[in-house]
Amino acid sequence: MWRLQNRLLCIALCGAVGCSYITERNVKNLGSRILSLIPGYTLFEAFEAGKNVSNSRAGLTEEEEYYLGRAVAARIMSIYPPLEDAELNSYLNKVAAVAVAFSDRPETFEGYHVQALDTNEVNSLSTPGGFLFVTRGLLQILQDEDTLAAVLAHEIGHVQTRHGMKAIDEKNISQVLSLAGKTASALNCSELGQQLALAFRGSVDDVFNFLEKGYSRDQEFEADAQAIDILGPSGYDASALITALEQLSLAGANQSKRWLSSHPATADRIARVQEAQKGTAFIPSSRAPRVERFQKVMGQIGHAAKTH
Amino acid sequence: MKAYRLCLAFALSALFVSCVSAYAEDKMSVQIKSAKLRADASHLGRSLSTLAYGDQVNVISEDAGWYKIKTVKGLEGFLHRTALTTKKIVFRSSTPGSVQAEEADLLLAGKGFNKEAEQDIASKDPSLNFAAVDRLERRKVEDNELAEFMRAGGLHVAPTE
Repeated sequence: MWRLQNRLLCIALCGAVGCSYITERNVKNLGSRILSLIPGYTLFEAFEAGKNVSNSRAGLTEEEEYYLGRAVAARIMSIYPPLEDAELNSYLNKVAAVAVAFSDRPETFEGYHVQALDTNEVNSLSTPGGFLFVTRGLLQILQDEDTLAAVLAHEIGHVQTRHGMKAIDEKNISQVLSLAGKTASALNCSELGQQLALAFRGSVDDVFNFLEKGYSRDQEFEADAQAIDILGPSGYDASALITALEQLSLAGANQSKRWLSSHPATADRIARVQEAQKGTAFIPSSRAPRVERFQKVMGQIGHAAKTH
Repeated sequence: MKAYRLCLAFALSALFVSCVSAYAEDKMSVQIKSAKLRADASHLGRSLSTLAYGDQVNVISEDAGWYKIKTVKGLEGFLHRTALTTKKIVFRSSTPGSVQAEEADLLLAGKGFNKEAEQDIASKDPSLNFAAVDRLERRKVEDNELAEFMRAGGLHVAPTE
């Protein structure tokens, strides 16, 4: 009897030890410590093995992703001028803030920001770090606030799954990592700074070219799924995503091809969204209170716009 | 009998070590520019304080993507997991409270994806519209504005099934 009690106590204690230690964070931390002991695996990469950065591209931090996203955003707005309409941009940012509050990645280094672009082209875009763009052409075909929320939630989906970051070419990443493995004595600071700046410019090109070329179909499906997960609990009608896809598809026939390929509103995509919605138990709130404010803001778009 | 005692002693020691180790692992750092400490585990929860990039916090518990944390000043509240990292934040020497380091190490800490890289790319391509990026970043939606916007639009302030 005494032996049995001791045996059970030992088993229970060992179990408790195991359970208390094997949390996800502890495992990752342990992994990073082990990796940091490997020659060439620098402290920076070891840090990145932590939970919250594990899905970053090549271990880039939130801050690094932010600077990359800023540069891509600056390039987008060098091609398409921003639509400087304070009321419109404020409204867009509020709709996006609702969606962000219900997303899986509500925090980015500097937060999410939306900007309307002054072009007739119909599209929406996002860059790493949370810079979202919607064109005047798109805003003018959207039906209501819920379809706008669906478009923004889709773009937030791309940001939270870091699709843009995945476009960075391995050569730029490997250059950064190889440099990160060197010590101060191996390279002089000037040379190091130049090579890192080169990698930064290359990475900006990678992400921008990727946005021009368009996301893969799987990435679009993934962002759609994220959008449904965001819209449901927020009170927006998740079925508005189907309406938005249909409107984009219809508008696409008469638009420039530039960037439009990033949103192929295929029947497949709509079917998948319909299927995903069957699994949601969220009941959307009435759209009525949101209709008037949408129409009020959209009705004034033309005043600040210069046609491009 | 002896083996069981040995096993018991080992298990107790391991439990003590794991508790100490788990405590040490519960320190995390703020990985975003500024993070609002919330009274509830929700982005719509009341803001108690604002934590700065690199601030260290002690994690008390974790649930559904939210950490209950305690600041160095003893304030308790909630931060979303995406605001925190287990990694140590290395600051530049010009940043208040920063850690001194060799210049090359600092460059590497930012991997070249930093303000200096942005200035470099801007000087090589003056058409890049960073001024517009700065303007759009200045647009913020305050908590009370968002709450009013959601209320007026009949949106949910918390998930409703």
